[in-house]
Amino acid sequence: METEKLLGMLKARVSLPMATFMETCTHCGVCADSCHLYHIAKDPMHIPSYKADTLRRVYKRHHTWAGKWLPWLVGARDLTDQEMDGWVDTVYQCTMCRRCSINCPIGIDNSLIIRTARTLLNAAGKGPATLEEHTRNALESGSPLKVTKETFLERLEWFEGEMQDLLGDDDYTIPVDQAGVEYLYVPASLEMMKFPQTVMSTLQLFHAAGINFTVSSVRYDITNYGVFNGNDETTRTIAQRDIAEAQRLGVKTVIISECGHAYRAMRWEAPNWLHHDLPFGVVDVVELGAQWVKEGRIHLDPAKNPERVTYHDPCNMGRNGGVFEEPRQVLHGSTEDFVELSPNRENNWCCGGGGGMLSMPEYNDVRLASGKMKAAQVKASGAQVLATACANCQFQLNDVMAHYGLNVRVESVTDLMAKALVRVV
Amino acid sequence: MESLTHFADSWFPAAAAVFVVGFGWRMVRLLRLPRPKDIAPPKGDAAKGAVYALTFAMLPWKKESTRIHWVTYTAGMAMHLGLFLAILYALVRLAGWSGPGLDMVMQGAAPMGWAAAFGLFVKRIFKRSMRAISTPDDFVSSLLVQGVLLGAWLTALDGGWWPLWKVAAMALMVYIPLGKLFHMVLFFFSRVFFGRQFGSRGVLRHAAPVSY
Repeated sequence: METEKLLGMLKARVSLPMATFMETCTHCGVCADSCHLYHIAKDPMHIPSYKADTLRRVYKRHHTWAGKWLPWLVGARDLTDQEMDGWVDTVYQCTMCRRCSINCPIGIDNSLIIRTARTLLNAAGKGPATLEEHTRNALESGSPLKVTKETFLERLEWFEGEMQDLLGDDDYTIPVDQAGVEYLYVPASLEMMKFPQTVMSTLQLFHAAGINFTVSSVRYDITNYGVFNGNDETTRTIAQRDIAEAQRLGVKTVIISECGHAYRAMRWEAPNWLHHDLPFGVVDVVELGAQWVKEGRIHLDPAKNPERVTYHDPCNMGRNGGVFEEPRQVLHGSTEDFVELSPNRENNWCCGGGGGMLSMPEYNDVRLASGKMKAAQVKASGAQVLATACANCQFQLNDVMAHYGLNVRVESVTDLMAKALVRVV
Repeated sequence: MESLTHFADSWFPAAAAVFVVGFGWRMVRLLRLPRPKDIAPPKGDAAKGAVYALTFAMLPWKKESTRIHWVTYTAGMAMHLGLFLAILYALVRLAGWSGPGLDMVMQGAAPMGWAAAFGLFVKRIFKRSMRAISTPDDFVSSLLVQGVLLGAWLTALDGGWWPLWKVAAMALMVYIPLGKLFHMVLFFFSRVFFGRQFGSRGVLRHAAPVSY
């Protein structure tokens, strides 16, 4: 894409908050230690301020007086092919977890800057190949992992059989494309293919709570890879398809499975991308679980999970979505020995698997190494089970526990909740 | 010193005019930018988040970064405190007031601020990670602030240094609209945006309805 068009894209994204975040960094450097990537080897390229400076240099060149007339003074640079090539590793290795924002004395949202840099890199055709391929898959087949409708329905059949065995009820069915029900449940492809137990656990919870739900044979993967590759149009298109399906089915609430970025995308970002309210509620399955426990719709027995359990706050659920207490309420009810990681909640360490890192095999070494802080805090907790509420985190945490030689089992919150279910007859 | 006095007196209004026009221009440019409204249904309170971000969230023990980098944080606070007092002291002097009490305050605050600013300047030069993120603007800004603090210190010791201090202040005023020193205003904007978003999403505990 021509430079002028890229600069036009940047200009279109310059709002007052964006300009503020671009022009306020004082390069004090205290953000460095808040980044899990920086802790690998203290490489300056992982200092959040340095990462944001990729785009900031170009922003200054074209949007500030000093950058236009005295570029050497403020480190402003022209947007060139070479300049953008230099961004790639820095920008795509950032998981956009926002831990640096929480710890920035000024409150700069570096993740907003990084995502905008990704937008430009994507438009210039410089995005990592696999990430782009997964995003294309999502657009063309509805799933980044190319899970087809047939595969999905086959999986459902299998889940149905398992549920029938578990419940001893041959009449149990999973409603598909049933219009007019209260809830639409949309899983993530990663769960279906890698963590089917989580989908099973979710179905058990639904059954125990007695809710009226359906799944869709049209939109059966809630992930939104546009969030990662930075292409706003893709992001909107995917969100719009999910919204249209929920509207077609006339549901009141969409239940997002344990998928952090999907939750953030639909709950917090979609209304702003599309400039309108969503005609239904959006809730994460763990939020709903906590609500059901509180309402007495489901009952949990902590004795069923006697091991020491700790919880990893997925960045997109917690720091970016405000879901801190619900998983804790559920875990306190589901486990006998729950301990907190330190630090936790808004200061929790990113696991290193966010921002599309799982879809960029060229960064696998960095991804695994970046779990250093997470591994250290899990080890310090003495936990035997590490619970989390995001399939993406679950995948990464499994890898990190193995990489750092920790004998810790990673489980989803929903799995632990389902194990603790007390079946009221 | 006489020619310096003449220079400072002659050019001070021009420097002040550059400051006012440059400052105003930059503010107008920023305030004309779109301000997207977050329309996602809130979980917490955006306004409370903003208030929290501007108050308690800034306490040094509230952030891991400031707890770890307490020396840098303390130096930053000392530098800013010294600078604010120096500016206040200058305004008081320009208004024609003076007194030994004021001089004594500056004899303590200015060297404290300068030492802190100098320390941060040295850190920027010698620490690899700091060099990697620094631009000439960072060094120039620091030198200008140090100039003002040194000027205030010398003037507090001996009023005869007032013209030198005035020249340092003029350089600072001309530079503020250009470089990073403009964070004196944008800092507050940034904290408000930060607080509003994290407050609205229920991330900041003091803005969230849930109990912790």
